[in-house]
Amino acid sequence: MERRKPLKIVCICGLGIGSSFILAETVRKAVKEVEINARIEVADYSSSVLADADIYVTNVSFYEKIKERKPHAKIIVVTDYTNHKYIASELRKILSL
Amino acid sequence: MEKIANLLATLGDKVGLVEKVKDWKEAVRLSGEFLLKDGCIEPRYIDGMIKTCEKLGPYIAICPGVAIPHARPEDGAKGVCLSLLVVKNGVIFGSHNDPVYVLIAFSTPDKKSHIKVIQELAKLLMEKSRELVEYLKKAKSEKEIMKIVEKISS
Repeated sequence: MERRKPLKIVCICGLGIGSSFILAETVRKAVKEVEINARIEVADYSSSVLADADIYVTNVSFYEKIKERKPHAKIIVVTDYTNHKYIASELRKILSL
Repeated sequence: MEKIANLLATLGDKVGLVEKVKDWKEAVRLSGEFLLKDGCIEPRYIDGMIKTCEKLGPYIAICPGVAIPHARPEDGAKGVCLSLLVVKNGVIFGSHNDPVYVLIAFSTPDKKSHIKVIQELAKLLMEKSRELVEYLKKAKSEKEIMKIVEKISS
């Protein structure tokens, strides 16, 4: 699948200063494994503004909220924020790689 | 593994070991006491940590056996600080990642100063979290905890 622009992946969880950064590092590693061109961002969940993303990575509690606002969003739900292999396999599924 | 110099330097000797705790609140409070002793937080930051855990719920336990209690900069953080508390009997946060044996508490005065340390922590946990928890659970002293962290991260 050819992409001109980098894939935008947004990590959402909690306060956006701790777990989100850890999750972002894990996503960074997964992106390297899958060998895709992606831009990874960290965002707070805010009920007024939800950052646009090609793929969201988050935990169970934000899944429903994101789904409500962006019903067509691709969302990867994680319970272990350090499991890069899981995120890599989910990325492959989403991108049909 | 890459050196995690910033992480170890920031942690210093702010490590603790307890057999058990009454509940997750006590565990979070204890982990916060180390940050307070070091002078990098105001006492109210610890209340902020409890509130954050209540707000984030079980998601403060980010991977099997490990939780990262923290509050916002405006809750009384004075500097970038890190502590590590081992609860030998484990503590329940209501998460898929329970029981938690290792609490890594931190503070940051803004949204950026702690990034290097958190990134190093992320890399350590990504590669060695299972090992870290297994060894730390069995530690018999604070000194041993520091040795274990240094060894696993090198």
